[in-house]
Amino acid sequence: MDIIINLADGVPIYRQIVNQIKYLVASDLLLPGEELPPIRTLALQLKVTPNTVVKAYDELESSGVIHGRRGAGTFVSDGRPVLAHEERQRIIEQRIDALLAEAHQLNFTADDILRMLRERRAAMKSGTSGEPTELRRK
Amino acid sequence: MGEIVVDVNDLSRSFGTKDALDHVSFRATVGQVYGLVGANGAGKTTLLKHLLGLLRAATGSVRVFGLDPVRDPVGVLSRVGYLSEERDLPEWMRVDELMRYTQAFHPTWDASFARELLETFGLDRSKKIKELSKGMRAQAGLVAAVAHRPELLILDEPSSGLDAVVRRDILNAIVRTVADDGRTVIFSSHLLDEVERMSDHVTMIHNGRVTLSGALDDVRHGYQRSRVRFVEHFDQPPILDSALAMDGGGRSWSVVHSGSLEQFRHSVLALGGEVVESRDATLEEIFLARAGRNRQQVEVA
Amino acid sequence: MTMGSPAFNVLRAMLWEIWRLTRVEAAWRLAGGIVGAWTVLVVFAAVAPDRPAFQDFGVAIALVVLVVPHITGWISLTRLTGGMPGFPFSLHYTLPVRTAVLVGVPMAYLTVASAATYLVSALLLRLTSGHPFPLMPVAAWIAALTIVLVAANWLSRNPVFWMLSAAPAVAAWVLLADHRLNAEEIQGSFDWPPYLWATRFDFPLTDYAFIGAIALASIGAVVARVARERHGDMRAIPLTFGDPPDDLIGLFRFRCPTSSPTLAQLWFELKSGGLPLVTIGAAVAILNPLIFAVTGYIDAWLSGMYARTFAVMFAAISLLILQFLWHNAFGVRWRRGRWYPSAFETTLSCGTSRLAALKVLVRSVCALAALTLVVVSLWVTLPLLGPGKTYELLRSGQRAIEGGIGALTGYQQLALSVVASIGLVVIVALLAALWALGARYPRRMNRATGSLLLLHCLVLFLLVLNGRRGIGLFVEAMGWIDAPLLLFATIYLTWKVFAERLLSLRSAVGIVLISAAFGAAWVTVLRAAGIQLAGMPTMDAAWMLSPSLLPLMASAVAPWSLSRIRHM
Repeated sequence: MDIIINLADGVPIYRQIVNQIKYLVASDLLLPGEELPPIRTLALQLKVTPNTVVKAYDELESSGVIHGRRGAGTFVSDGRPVLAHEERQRIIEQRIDALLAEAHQLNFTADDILRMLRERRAAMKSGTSGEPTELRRK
Repeated sequence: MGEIVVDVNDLSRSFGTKDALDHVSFRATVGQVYGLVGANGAGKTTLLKHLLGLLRAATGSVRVFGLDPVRDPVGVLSRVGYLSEERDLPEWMRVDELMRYTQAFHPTWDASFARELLETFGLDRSKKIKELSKGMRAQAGLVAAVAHRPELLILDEPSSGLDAVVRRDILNAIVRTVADDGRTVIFSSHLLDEVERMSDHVTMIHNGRVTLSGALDDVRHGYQRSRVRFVEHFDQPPILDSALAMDGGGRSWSVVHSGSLEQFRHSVLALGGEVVESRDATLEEIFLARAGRNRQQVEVA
Repeated sequence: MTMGSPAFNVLRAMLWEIWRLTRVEAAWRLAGGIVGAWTVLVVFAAVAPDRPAFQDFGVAIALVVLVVPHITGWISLTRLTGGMPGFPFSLHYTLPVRTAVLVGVPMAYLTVASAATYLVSALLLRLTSGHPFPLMPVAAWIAALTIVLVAANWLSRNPVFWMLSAAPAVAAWVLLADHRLNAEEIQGSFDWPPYLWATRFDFPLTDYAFIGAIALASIGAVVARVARERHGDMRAIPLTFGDPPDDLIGLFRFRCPTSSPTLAQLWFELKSGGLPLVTIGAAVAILNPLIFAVTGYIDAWLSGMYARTFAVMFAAISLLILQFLWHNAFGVRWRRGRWYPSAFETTLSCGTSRLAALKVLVRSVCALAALTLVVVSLWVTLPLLGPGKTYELLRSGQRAIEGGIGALTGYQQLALSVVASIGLVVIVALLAALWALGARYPRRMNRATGSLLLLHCLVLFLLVLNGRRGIGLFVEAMGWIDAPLLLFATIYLTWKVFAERLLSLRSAVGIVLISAAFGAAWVTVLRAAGIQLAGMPTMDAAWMLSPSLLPLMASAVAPWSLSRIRHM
């Protein structure tokens, strides 16, 4: 399972695990019914204390993303679509927040952002390789 | 809340005129990983030595598994695995002799586990301890400490001076100890990213006193690192409420602060600035900020 | 080389360093020599003021006391190498100094310091006592001996090599002194009384030339060796002090038992200390007869008594060296300027009293075995020395001992062996406790030893003031102090050991039984030696009986001291 822990992220480790597993489920990299690694294996792989993995799995289980069968491992639940939408929305909203903060730092207004958004999307659609919009400044 | 494995109550100890520990209290429950951090000479090793009975408590009490490690060394030490920087393994012993010797003292020794570990580490059983490098000695000491599946694993700066491979082995041992049947680990380290990954609880000791103690996430949540931007240009770091350390210059500053985010925002606004972004501080930032603050306090006083 | 030039600064720095390292020891040598010599003179004057031959003997002993501090090497420098031999300034190899200077300056300093210390003390004694204490000749001797001893210490990091080179050096020096001083026999006294010192100590020029040649040769050898070490041709890592060489330990390969901790610890003790000691004893036991035989041949060829004297001296030294075997049974080692117990052993999951008992018992049994081997080999192979004055002396001594023991009944011989064996165990336990307590409370032990010595001197002084004279003085002084001290220590330690629950009731019963057996054996031995306890004054009788408390005290102090270093 492809999970990366970033200590400088400011986000607690268990939360990062939860988020990334939700992301994997949301983007179909983890299919319903697929088995998740046991706690000890994931802890060894990520080099974190097993209690963190326990916490993450507990939270995932209480929000219905996964379910565990006693002695038989942990599996991804069905009922994906609702969560996936919420999750996807939350992820994009995080990206937008970061983008807005960055833009503000670089002295762009929200209108500039919207304009550039449309320009980039048009460029992507017409298939031209991405030259930075800045070079085409007036 | 599980059973209490280690109970240190109001422990004080001094060496000559220096106060090594000053009314320290520490509690460890079963199945958790406890990280001890602090500057060199802060008292981490002293505290751990009290748990093993290597030091007598001058005032206060130390109980491990409910027993006094000085009165009942066998009852405590037979259930504890210990690894430290200066393990003093006998130079003349061979690795397999060390295993057999340690096995005689611990009835819970798991010979197949020991064999598996030795193979994983690639240790030559017929080599004498004095022929091993520092990293291999740490590995041999680690096998001797964990192969009898101790209920409590105590590691005193186990990774210092060791290469990444051996450090990984030690971290794995911590994970396995806790994951298998929920045993307890207490370790002290200078490598704060290690402590951050591996601890459930963190305790910071400074000058023999406990300055921070709690679940790691709670501790981190109590400190924030924020990026701040001001309208004016500041030559000296601006005075902000509950700020512990400031980096940067001119109009952009990066601040580590404790306490409520709202209060901090207010004080920033009052000076004509705004908080650009804010996140939980890492353990290293907290440690450096507190150490820096303490040094400043000493200088002022 | 002018003042302020770089070479001068270097020299000054090196001299300053070695002065700092050795100044305390130099002060002790000076003070110890002077105070010791004065004490000897005063005591001899007090004990028998009317016998001039005896007084002469006393003055000679005072001279010996002045010289003896310089027969050992300089101890303060061995602290830098952790108590082991070897060049102590290996950290200076990266300084911009030539090897000859690096070696020569400390050696010159030590030589001059030893000679100067002797000169000052001899001068002081000469002025205050009026006896003609020799100055330059003996100072030159001491300088030569210091150079040779320092060279022997710095030539190799191997302690065996150091012992094998230092011991013959001292032996040769003593032989030379003996040869020079006893050149003419004098009836009625020893051969070098003070009134003859002016002539006896007037050495021919050849002696001085010989001394000079030896000095140069030693310095050259050391410089060569240090240069090799400096440039990586030889290793510079000192061995750890207190452990037998690993090759000896590796000789015995038997599997560690895993069934019980006691057996495993027994294996540990035998491998790390006990069996190597027995091997050393066996080696010495074989070596001594060989040396006897070889020197017998040499002397038969030379028709004299030269090589055999050396053989006898070597045998005596080997017996002396063997007594190092029963030191430090608890294994405190030297690291970074302090004595520490081994961290590995202090965290063993084993009870303190069991650990102490195992360590002491294994060490004493093996020491007893080694000692027996050496003594038996010396006893049996004495005739190999061949006829001569020394042999006759030793043989008559041997016959006297045989006669003495043969006159005892079987029961008394049994009592003697009981006293000897339990006595050895007691000695090992007491020494182990001393090492442990010395490691744990170095300053307190220094103060205690100092005050004990002072107390003895004080009591001696009071007795002399009271008009008491004779050899019985010393016995009385010890009787006043040692017996009550022993009793007090036994009671205190036994109470402590029970308060901390270090000994179980069962082991306590066993110890009491063994002490009772020892006490009975001791009384038997006293009676066999002809000492009537009934007719003695109470203090003397109590003092004679007090050794029977020793097993009790030893079995209390051993676990207690081990507990002190296991739980600091």
